[in-house]
Amino acid sequence: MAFDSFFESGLEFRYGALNIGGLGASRFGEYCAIFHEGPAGCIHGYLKGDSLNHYMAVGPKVDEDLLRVDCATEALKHMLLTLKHASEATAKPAANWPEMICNADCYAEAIIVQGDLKAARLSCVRIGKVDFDLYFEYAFREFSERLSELDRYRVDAFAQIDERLQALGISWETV
Amino acid sequence: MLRLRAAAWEDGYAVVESDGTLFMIRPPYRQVNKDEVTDADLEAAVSKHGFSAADQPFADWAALIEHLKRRLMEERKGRVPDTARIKKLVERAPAHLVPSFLDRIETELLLRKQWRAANGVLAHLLRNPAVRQDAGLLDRVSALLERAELEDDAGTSPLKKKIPSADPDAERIARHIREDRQVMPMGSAA
Repeated sequence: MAFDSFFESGLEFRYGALNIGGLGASRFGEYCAIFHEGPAGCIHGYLKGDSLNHYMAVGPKVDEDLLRVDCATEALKHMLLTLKHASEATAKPAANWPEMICNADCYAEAIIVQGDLKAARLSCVRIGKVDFDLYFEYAFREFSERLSELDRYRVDAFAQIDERLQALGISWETV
Repeated sequence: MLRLRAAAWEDGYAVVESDGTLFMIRPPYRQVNKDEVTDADLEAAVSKHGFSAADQPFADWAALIEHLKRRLMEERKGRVPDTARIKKLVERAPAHLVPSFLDRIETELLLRKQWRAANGVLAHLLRNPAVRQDAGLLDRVSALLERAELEDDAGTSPLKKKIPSADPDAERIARHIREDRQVMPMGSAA
């Protein structure tokens, strides 16, 4: 709350992560919604790290000095990421960069204003292939055996998301 | 000793402290669904991601997971999972999963005489675009429907006797596939 309150309209902030492939900050959910970006995008800025992990000082209060040098606009996000990962990137093949840039422990945080999150900007929803296949396995088993209540709730939630994505013409991506 | 520190009750996600280390866990609560997290992650979970703060001890993981499962179902009470919606997922199963479904219909459901289950899966698979677009898969679905029908005619399946209305289109569609190699009559909607 201290971070949100520091900004005008901060309570409308929602938080994402810059993602160039992969499941993203997966510890917070098995589904990763990928939004289009561009001039009229919904991302208002990027931070080099997680806002609470990196920019909150004792108080709690926002470490404004650090925040100022660690933020970038949409147009400059590639520079922010280059500064963050330069030494690491040179030692890794480009195929490993998506995992380097956004994983469960490390990501560049995207600041989104809630009202700008529109379905039309949703590009796809990523999910782990193991989880994706498992939900269809549950659907198969639903014909012949009694799934646990927990599994039934989970696969029904997946089915609802799948129906909604189909209606919107948005596809899954498995990783 | 485990201590529950925060939870998103409706989704079953939780932050748990075990011997001084924090972990994020989530359904289906397997080892791969357990990630070590930091104090800041715990704070973010509560302040940014809608988790409720908690402070409750548990003797072991089994007791903790049972508690999370019970709370998840309490939170979703009144929103009973929709069986028809779950089964309909088979109509959208990706192509790479369909062969394994057909294998299991053959080696599990039909062998166990689970005619109704086999018939149900096959009827849904007939509506699956991945099946419709693959002559080989269509042939397999057709053959399995035919086999189920033959066994039914031989009197080993109680399906028709007990549920005359079950999947009434299945036999007709199977015949179309056998004879015309197409799912629906010419000119019908896709």
